Amino acid sequence: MWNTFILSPMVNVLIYVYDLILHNFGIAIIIFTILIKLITYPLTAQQVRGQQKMQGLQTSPKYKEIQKKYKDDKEKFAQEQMKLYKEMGINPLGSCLPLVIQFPIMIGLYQSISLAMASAPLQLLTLSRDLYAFIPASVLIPLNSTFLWMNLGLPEIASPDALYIGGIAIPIMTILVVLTTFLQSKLMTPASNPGDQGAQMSKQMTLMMPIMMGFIAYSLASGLALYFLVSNLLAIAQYAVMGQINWSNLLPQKTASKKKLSSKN
Amino acid sequence: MNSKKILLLISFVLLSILISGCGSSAGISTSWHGLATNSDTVYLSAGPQVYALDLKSGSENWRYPPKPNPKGFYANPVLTPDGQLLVPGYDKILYSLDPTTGSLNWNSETLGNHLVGSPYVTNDMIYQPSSDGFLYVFDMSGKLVWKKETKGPLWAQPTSSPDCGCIYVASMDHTVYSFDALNGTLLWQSPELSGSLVGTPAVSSDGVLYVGTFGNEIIALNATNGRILWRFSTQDWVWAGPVLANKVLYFGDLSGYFYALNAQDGTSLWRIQPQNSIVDKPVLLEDKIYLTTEGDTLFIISTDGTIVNSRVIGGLIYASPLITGDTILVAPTNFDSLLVALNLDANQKWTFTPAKK
Repeated sequence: MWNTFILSPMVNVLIYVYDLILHNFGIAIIIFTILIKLITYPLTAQQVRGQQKMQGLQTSPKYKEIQKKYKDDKEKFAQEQMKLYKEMGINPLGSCLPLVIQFPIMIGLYQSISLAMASAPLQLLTLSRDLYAFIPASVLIPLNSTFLWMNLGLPEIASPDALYIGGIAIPIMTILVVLTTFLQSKLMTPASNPGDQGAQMSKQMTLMMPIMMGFIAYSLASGLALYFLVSNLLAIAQYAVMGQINWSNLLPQKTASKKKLSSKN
Repeated sequence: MNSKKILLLISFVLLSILISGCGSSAGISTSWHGLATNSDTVYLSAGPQVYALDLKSGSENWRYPPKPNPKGFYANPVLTPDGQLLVPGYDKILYSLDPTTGSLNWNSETLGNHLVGSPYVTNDMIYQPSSDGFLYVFDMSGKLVWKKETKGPLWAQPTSSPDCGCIYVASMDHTVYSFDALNGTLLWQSPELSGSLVGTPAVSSDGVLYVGTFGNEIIALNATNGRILWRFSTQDWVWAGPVLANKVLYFGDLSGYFYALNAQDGTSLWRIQPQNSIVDKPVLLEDKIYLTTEGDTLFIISTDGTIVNSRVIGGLIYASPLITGDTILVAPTNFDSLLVALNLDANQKWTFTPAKK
C-alpha cells in the first residue's frame, strides 16, 4: 500500500523531473520540494487558519474567565473549553490534522530521495522494480548525484569535495539546516504570554527542533539535508506570503521587556 | 528541568535516532552475502561480520571483526596466492586478513565510497573497484600504487586476460575501460553502451569481452580496442556478467529468463524461465549448470536447457552458488541460516547460523 500509493509515485516523479531538467539530482530535489509545497499549500493554509482561530480563542476574555474559574478542576475546565470550541465553531484538531496529513508526504519524500539515490545493490534492485515504464531507467542510472560540493548520496562530510578547514570537514549544509530550522521555528511561533505553559513548550521546541534536524542532516545523505534546507526556506516564504511571520520573535525577549519597562518609566 | 521537559528531550532524541535508523544502511541489508573458499574452509561476508567456517562441518573457526561492523561486508572475499584474505567493506576500507586466524594483516586508508565489488588480484597487484568511480590499485602490502577514475560507480569485479597486460573495468557509466595493468594508462574505452554495467565481463581466449547491461542487452566487444562485435537483446536488465563455457554464454535477467547464446555470433541456443529474477551468475560443473534465483530455489540445469533437479533453500537468493569438491554452498538473504551446504545432488549437508557472542 505504502509503496504503491506513496513511495513509487514520488520516486517516479522525482526521477521524471531529473530526466526533464538538467540531469542533476540536486536540482531535481529542489524542484520536487517546490512541487510538494505547492500541492500541500491548501493544507498549510488550513493549518494556519486553525492556529489563528485557536490563538484568538485563547486570548478571548471568556476563555481567560473559565481558565481562572476552573483552575483547580481540570476536568471541568476541559468540558467548558470544549463547549467554547463548539460555540466559536472551532475544531480543536483543525490545525493538527493538516499537519498529520502532511507527515506521510514528508516521510515518503524522504524515502523516495533515499531510494532514488540507490547507493547499494538491494536498493538499486528495488528501484528497478518501482520505476514506471515511461522512465528511461537504463539511460538515467546511475543518477548524477553531484551538486555543488556534495555527493547527495553520501553524508556531506564524506563527500569528496567537502570543505576542509584545518583538516576538519565543515558541514555547511548541516549548519544551514540548523539555522533555517531555528529561524523557521522562531518566526512561525505565534506571540504568547511569557508565563503560558504552551509558550514554554514552544521555546523548548525552538531549541530542540534545530538540534534534531541538524543531527539528521549531518548523519544521513546530504540529499536529505538539501531537502530540509529548501523545505525550511519555502515554509518561511509561505508563511511570509500569508502574513504569518512573527518578526518580533527574533528580538531577545529580555531586551524587549526591558525596553517596555524603560518606556513606561 | 522538570519532568515534562526531560520527557520532551528524550522523545526528540529517540525520534532523531529512529529517523536516522530508517535512512541509514546500518541495521538493514544493503546487499547479498559474499563467498570464497579454499580446500578446507569457506569464507562468508555476511553483513556486520566475516566468518570462516570448516567446509566439512560448517562449524565456525573465527569471525572478523569480533565486534560487528555496522557498515558491513557483502562482496565476495578474495584469497590471494600469497595467503591473504581480502575483504572489501561498506565502510570504504579494504581489509587483508590472515585466512587461518582471522587476524588483520593490514587495511587500506578510507577510500571514497562503499566497496561493493570484489578486488581482482594478478601479478602481485590488487585492483579494487569503488563506488566513487575509482579503481584503486595496491601492492600486496596494501600500499596504493595508482588509481584511475571512471565517470560512474564501480560495482563489478575487474578482470583481465593472459598476456594482455591490461585490466578490464566495467563501469556504471555505461562504458568498459581497458587500463594498463602496471601504471593505469587508458588503453581504450568502449563506446557508451545501452546501460550501466555491474557484472564482471567474461573474456574469451580469442580476444572477446562479453558484458551484460541494464539496457537489456548482452554485448560482445573486441578485447583489443573495445569495438562492438554483436549485441543480443534480453527481456530485462542483465545484472551479472555472463559465464562462458565451451563457446556458449550462460546468463540470466531480472525477468527470470535464463539464456544460452552462441558466443561466436550471439545467436540464441535456448531460453528458459525457471522462477523469479536471476541476479547473479550461474556456476558450471561438468555438464551441469547450478543456478540460484531470487525466489528461494537452487536449480540444476543440463547444458541443453532442461531442469534436472531443484531444491528449495529458503529466504531470498541473490548470490551465485559456490561449488568446491562435492559441496554446493548457497548463501540466502533474509533467512535464519546464513549459509546452506548441499551435496551435488542438492541434498542438505549442513547449515550455518552464527551463535550469539
